[in-house]
Amino acid sequence: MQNTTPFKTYAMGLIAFVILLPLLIHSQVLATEILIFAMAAIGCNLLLGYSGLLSFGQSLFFGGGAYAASILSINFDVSLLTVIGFTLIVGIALAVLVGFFSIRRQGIYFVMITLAFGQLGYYAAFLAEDFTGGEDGLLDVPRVALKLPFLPDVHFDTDISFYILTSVLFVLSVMLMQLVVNSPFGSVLQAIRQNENRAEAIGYRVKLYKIAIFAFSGAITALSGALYALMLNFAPLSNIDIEISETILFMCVLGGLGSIFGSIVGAAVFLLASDFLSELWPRWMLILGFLVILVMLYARGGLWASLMIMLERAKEILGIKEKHNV
Amino acid sequence: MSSSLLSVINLTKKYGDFYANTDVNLNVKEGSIHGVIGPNGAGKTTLFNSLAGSTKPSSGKIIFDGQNIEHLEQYDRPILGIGRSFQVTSLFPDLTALENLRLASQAQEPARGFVFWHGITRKGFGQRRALHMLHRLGLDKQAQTPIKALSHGQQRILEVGMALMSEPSLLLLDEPTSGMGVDDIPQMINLLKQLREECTILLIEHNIRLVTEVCDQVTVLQAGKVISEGTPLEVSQDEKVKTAYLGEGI
Amino acid sequence: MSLYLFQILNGVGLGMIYFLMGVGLTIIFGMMNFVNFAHGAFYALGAYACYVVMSITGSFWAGLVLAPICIGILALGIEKVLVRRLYAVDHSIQILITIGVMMMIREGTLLIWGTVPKSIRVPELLAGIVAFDDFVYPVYRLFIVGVTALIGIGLWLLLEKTRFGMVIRAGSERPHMVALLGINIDKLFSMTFIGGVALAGVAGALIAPIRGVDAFMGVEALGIAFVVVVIGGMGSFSGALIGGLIVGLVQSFTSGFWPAGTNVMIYSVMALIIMFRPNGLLGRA
Repeated sequence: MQNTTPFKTYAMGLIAFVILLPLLIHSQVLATEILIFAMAAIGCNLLLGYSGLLSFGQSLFFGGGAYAASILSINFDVSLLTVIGFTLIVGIALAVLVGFFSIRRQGIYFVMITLAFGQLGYYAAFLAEDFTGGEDGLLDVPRVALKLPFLPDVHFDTDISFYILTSVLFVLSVMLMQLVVNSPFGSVLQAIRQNENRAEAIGYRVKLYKIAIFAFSGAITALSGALYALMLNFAPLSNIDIEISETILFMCVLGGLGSIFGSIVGAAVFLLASDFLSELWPRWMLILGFLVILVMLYARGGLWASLMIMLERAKEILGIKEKHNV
Repeated sequence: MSSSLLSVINLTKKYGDFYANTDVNLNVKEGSIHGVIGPNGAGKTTLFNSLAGSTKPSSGKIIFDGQNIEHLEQYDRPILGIGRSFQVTSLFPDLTALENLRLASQAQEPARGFVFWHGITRKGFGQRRALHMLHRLGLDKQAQTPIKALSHGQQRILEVGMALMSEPSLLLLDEPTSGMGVDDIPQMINLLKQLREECTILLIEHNIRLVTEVCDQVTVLQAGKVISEGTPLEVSQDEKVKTAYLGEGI
Repeated sequence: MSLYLFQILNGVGLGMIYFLMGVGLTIIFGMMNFVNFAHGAFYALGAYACYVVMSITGSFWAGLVLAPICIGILALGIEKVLVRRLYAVDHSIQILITIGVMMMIREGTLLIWGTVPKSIRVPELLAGIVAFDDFVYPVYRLFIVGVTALIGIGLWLLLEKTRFGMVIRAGSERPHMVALLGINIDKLFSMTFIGGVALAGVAGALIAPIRGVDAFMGVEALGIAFVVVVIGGMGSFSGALIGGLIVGLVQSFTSGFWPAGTNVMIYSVMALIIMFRPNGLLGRA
């Protein structure tokens, strides 16, 4: 099969990336954060880049995942796998719900409806103090251990062990999403993004496909939200704030729409810049706003595509040199 | 005499107070090429959309192959064996010609579109059938060309090819020669003549030459109503048709 | 009884503010097919402009008049430099770019005025309360209802009774026709944009004495403005009015028995309306 080689290459590349990342940036926590938000940005890219659906409801999935994992971890003696499973179910359920209502309309209405759902989620979380801790959030969220039959429990209390856990989940979910976007299902999404009417005319039930991709997006975004809460040992109300949707959207756009690797780059650049610049100047987001405008005006492919173009150029130049040498 | 593959009975479509189609009756015989003509604003496109499922009629029936289909969604119809083309070329512009056709083929098995765990080149997902169709359309060389890089004529041909991927028993063509240069039209006429061997065709057309050359039966619409029906020759001699087209030049 | 009257008046006052927000958004969208996510940011800027003018001149009235003018001038600049290039592009790109604008405005206001909310005192003339028998009501809130009603009527007259309005309405329904009429479409677009954005500025200035002024009031209002146009139907003047009033009344009545739940209630009402009327109450199919 012709697909195996690139698939293996992707896997190797991702594994190399997660090994090198903490070595390069000297902070396991920041590296963990990058992987977490890369997953969330990929969740956004599945909708916007691959299916043409601009969703402001991502905060709902992210925050929903964070709350789901936290509530379970705080109140019950469960294994990590149960927490992950529950998070995924909650993420999918929320996404199907939001998807079901929002895809009744297209274009700008769709966007506004997802935004309204995001806001609804925020205010609902604010109200439901018994479950979410309201304004204070949920404190002391434990990192539950992975309980396996016949084996000792695996704990993730140190930064490095939690980074390893995040890396494993990151590589698995990115590989899965890479599979999804190149699958027959992914091809239908491409078709829908480019010409919804034709997709329906050749026999695709467009609405079902949109709900299905919402489910994928909800799952990966909720997982990232859950990991974030476990990382912080805390699930603040701001996890479900509209600003989270914005942040995720920016990472996704900055890195490049329609590219999974773009989203990883976008998240990394965003968080590194934030880490570096926010120390120097608390209003660094002003520059970010400007950057987003520039990217959308002049480089829609985002950083990833620009990087690829530069690589091509470099290759060309090197190629010419080689010829000269001969 | 062969039976009707498609029957339209008292089909009416209104938008508010405006009647786009009023009590339209139509029978398309199996194996024939049936043309629907009429001056601008006669309600041809509305009728076409009702048949293709992109709008729902206000009242009346559409019977295809013995089955009521007027209530069915657009996406149900290709699977029943009704293919459609668009008047304004409507393809997936960034995808290759091959991928466009493959998608149309894959759609025939609704569950396959939800397969997310392997690639698209697997057997059974339309790759091979799409290559066959490209060959048949004479577009082998363009297999890996994105649609937006194809010529207008090639896009029109592919437009018909998309509808053919469902192996339709009824093919609905919305002005197949629309926007085509005079030189390209014979190619389309040839394609249509070839196609009549394998399916029934209903087409809406402005180009009278094409209608008289390929159609067995013609229905003429004016102001949403059927005003004449018959062979191209009979219709062209009908006084009502001449009056309707007066000023348009038949 | 007087409690209900109190809540109705509150609801109408808020609703009219939301109407001002929604109508700008809806006209800009209808006329120019342009999605302005920075609309809320201009509303917040309107409040800040009013605050600045007031702290310089000492007069709320000067603030109220000058705020929309300042916002209008800013809008003119932004239209010329940026928005003009975006009319033909995809909605999602318009949205992302205007979010960039929104972010720059928000961070800019934080940079200039800091994170501490500012407050504006209601002018002497409007500071009191009116009393009818046992019913008392703040004058300023009545003033809001009056001013917004006047603006609403003025806007309606402008749109329905003047040639300019006729062109705008024609433009919202059939933009290419306007170009055929030989009207300078660039000028018309920039005037519409400025007008729509200035309305958001007025809304911000009017709400400032009640709500206070901070950089985050924009996002809050943007969400509400979207609810207003989704409920009323995008591109419809009367839709924005009805949508605004519904949201205002729902908010005001909910705050009577469940103060914390007002926002949840607003968004739930919207979800319900979309379920039964996907195009909004007055929206075209």
